[in-house]
Amino acid sequence: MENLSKIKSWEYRPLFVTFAHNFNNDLCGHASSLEKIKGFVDQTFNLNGSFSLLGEKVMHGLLDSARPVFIDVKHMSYASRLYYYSVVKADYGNRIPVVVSHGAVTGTSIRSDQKKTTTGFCNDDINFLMKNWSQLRNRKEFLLSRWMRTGWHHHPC
Amino acid sequence: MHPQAYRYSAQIVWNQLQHIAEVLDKNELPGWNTAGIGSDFDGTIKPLPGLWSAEALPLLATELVTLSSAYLKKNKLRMSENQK
Repeated sequence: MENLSKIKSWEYRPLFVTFAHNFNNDLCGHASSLEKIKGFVDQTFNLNGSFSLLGEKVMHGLLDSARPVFIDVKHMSYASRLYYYSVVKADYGNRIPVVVSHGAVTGTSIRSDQKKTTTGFCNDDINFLMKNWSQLRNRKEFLLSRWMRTGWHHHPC
Repeated sequence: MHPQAYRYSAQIVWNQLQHIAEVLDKNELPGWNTAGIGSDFDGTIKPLPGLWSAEALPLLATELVTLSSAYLKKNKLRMSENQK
């Protein structure tokens, strides 16, 4: 939390911070990644988990300000992403852009669709599911993609 | 690697751009010029065949123009700003 105050007092603050990566970070659960070296690393601790109490505090610390520092949802688990979107909607009236610093879309809209074959897309749950606006209100996953950057490293299954 | 491999890879990239544009258009949001193409430079990336470095970007760009033009000729998105 001290580091958070430091960052917020910088003259040039970051536009966004990435909230999760490949392993547990005590903030929120991460999604399965590192396809090629999976056999050599253990991602299980907090894999697919959601936000911790510390994570919640840090999240609100970043967002709850006249000049918020945005949060990047890349590497968050599906559960963390859904929770984050619900907070952005409920507590911030959807006024905080959702940042995807790098990632791909799955071509499907909800997780149960993941068994579905979408030719030319990769359905790994690290990738993003898009939903139309009315369904978005039902807290399904969506992207506000003005801030989105599409990398290609997760596309091929 | 097949010398035309980049064409198949461009199709994979195009699938992303098209899907994003269609979903945004349905929601009355600008569909193009939202997604960027790049890498996260962390050393674990798995580039698509034929698109191994920035050198391939002009090839990719040309291919994406072909694919997007063909798409826009066939399909009409809802918002006028998304139709071109």
